[in-house]
Amino acid sequence: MRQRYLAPLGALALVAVFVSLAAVSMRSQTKAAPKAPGLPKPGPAPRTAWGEPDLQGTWFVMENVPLERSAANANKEFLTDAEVAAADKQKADDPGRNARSANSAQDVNGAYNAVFNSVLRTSKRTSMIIDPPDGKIPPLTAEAQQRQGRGGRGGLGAGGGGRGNAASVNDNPETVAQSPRCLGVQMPFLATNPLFAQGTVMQIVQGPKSMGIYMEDDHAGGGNRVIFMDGRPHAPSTIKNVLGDSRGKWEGNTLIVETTNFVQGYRGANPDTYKMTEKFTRIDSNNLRRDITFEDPKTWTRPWTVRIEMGKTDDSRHMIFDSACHEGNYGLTGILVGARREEQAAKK
Amino acid sequence: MTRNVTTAQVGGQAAPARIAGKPDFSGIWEANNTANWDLQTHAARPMVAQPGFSPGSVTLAAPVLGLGSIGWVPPGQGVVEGEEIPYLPWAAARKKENLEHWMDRDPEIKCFQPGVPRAMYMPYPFQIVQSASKIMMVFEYANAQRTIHLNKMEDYPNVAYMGYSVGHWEGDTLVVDVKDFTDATWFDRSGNFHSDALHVTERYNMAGRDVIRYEATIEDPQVFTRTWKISMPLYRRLDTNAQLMDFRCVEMVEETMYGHLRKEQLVKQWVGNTMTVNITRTIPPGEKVHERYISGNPPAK
Repeated sequence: MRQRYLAPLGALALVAVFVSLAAVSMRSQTKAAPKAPGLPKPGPAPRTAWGEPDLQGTWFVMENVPLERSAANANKEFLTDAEVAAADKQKADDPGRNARSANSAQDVNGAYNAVFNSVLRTSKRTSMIIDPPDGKIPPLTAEAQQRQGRGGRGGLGAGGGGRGNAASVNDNPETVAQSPRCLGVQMPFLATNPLFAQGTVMQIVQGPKSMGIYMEDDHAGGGNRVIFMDGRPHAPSTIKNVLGDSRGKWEGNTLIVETTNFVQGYRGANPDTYKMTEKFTRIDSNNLRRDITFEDPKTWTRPWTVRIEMGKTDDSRHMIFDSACHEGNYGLTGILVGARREEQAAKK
Repeated sequence: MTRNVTTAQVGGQAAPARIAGKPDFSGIWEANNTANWDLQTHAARPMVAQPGFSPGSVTLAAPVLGLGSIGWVPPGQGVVEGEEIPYLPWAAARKKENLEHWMDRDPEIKCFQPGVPRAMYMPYPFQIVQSASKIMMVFEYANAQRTIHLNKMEDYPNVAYMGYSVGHWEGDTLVVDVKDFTDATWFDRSGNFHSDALHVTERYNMAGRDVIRYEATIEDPQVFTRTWKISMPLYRRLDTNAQLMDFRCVEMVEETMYGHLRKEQLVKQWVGNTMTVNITRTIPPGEKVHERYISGNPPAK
């Protein structure tokens, strides 16, 4: 009985992952994409009923900016209008987006991938990093080079290997890549992979004593931060959170949010010495700027800062949908069942 | 910068008592009752039971045997007004079946978002962030979240595990309509459930500085013969520097949900002083391997 049922599932496993993710992706992107013509002309930055700059709203990253500046753009902070137009034309002409083959079934299966190609417009800015001025992550300290070279977890990518030798990533749920596990969004929540709509949308609710940020990424699920703004100190160092421990304070019209107590530092930083400091500034009614400075004297030779510009959506529309990634995660079951089916087939 | 927030002296600390003219619900809150175990009045009982030695008695069954007194559900007075949950006949049978298959079926065990009202009385704290036009609630359990929209919103064109919440003020009472639920969430660990036609109307009142009087009216004509109501106090967590911590259960439940699909089983045997527990993982037949929950909708005719 088991073999009979496993046979079709094995073949479907990979497709099933794409279908489930694609359905979510399409919903959030078609409903959530900001409509430029519907937005009112920018006015002055509003204030809350209690007189502070009002950061509340659902905010989207509207343009594609690489984290680091490419060699081709060395010494060049901004592209010209002509260069932006040329880059956008190249994206629109990408032959991979609308390819046809002789195998129509394959094309239909492949078309599920097309929803991932949600191309953001090219930004004039050539790197998210605004400091150091070369647009590059500063060099690692000697200690960090040694630590990361010894197999320290540098990135947030797929887990490798499993228990025992010659392990496959599909042997266990823990060894499957992060995104099919629906473990929730990670900090610092940057749009480093806008093709997958990652790090592009956040909803802020702002009170006088605390602020909530709901971050949505359909492949990972959601993530919810609460920022205390009542002057209390950070949690003791015994408390570690995946999204860190955030404290906010106003300096003029800018909300400064310091986040520490991470379980894991960004890009392999040491969680005990790593700190991120965000500066939220409402530029005008339609625009929010989020500058983030990453510091860890044990990892980088100097602090570095990224700039993220976000646009607002209509308050009565464009709600972020519940991705319910874990609740609907038929993909991970499919991946594991498919792998067990392949092992059974190989034994024959 | 002027802060147009009314403040009240509380224990030497200035705390705003109202936000934009309305009661301030912000802070860390938690119910202190057994409603998440069972909405109705219940005596202590095994989490999972088997017939006991004496006729008619029950005792702990295999999954929780080693837990001893911790394996027994704490008793509690019900939170249902009039005690009765008015199920339609098919739904009463389903509720009983849900309780019998609690460990296979309770969405909490799988770390699914709990829905409303269940999120409000789980044994974990939650935090309220309040502005003039939105109220966000962040729950320690599963890092779940709901936003109550006080401004005029377009209809929600989808369903959501936590539902879609639209609120308004009636004097100092916050009234919230919650709809657009899935058919997948439950009310408690006793198998009380609903369909996707669920409509919850919540009322929040400050009863003193550190207590919210919470009420939820439940309406679901696919499952119940009439509306019914629960009510309970929610208490402010007064612990020094109370804050939410991580309870990221998606990772915690991977062994429970997917362990049977590993290449090599991780958990096979647990050995204690007076018992050895052998664990056999099985893969259910057919499409059941992909079953994640039992729909609360009425069976198709």
